Amino acid sequence: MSDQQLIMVVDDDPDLVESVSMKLESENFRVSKAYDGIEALDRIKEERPALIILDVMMPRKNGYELCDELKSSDEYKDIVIVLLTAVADAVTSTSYTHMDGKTTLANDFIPKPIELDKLMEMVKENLE
Amino acid sequence: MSDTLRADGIKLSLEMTLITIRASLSESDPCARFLKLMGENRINLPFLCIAARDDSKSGIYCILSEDIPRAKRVIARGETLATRLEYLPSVGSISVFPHNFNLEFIGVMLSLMGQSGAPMHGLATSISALSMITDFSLLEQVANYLSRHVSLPGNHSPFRPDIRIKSL
Repeated sequence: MSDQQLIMVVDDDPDLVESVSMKLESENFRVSKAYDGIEALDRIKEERPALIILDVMMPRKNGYELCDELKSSDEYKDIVIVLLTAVADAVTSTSYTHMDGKTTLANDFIPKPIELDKLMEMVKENLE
Repeated sequence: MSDTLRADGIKLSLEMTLITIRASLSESDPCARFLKLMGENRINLPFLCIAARDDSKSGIYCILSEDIPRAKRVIARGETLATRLEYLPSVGSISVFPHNFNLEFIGVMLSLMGQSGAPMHGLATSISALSMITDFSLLEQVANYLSRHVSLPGNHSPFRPDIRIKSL
């Protein structure tokens, strides 16, 4: 197995997944991709990532639910989770905004639209 | 050419209206005027395709159906622009991803769309996805057809965006 660290990118926007993945690969990380929380959980069971970049708003199982599930699991609670949040300031009337106030156990947050260089810094800092 | 193809997913859009603008290359550009107005008024274009051929070009754009009344009001401010637009209501996009920059992917998808019997009003790629525009009423049917012919992850099902964020 490669000694490159595995990063998982989870978002229902395939273009965001692709652009973040390309940047991560250029920084010498391996990348696993998923497009909703259920697919992400399957991939995590196949190979455990060191860090997950996790969107909040997704169909089937959203990022908060997946984050809670992983952080309450003895097996996966040590995986670093960086949440992608887009709703805090922009949308005031969605369930996601209300959930945004909820305490999550994610390790870090980054707002959308993402600055890729900033995200890379965050990934590296959280993996140190 | 193989009829089966691997993909990570299929994403369907909400109901949209397709707008076509045709122009000659020598005239003042109505496509640019249209895009400027949409940008200034923060009207999102989920799909955009511009094609040029000989001395003419055409722009194909989609706007969410719910945004069309506002878009029409904005377009009406654009002097003669309104007369240059052709509207096709009730279309939707089906996006298959990732294409991995593989030309065979486009060939197979075009072939499958042809076999499905659904009309294709537009085609464009993004960094990850190949998006095709068809009648909104046929979107689920096309998605089911493609799902049977494209190898998808075991638990994937075609999905629509859960929530949209608008910048107002």
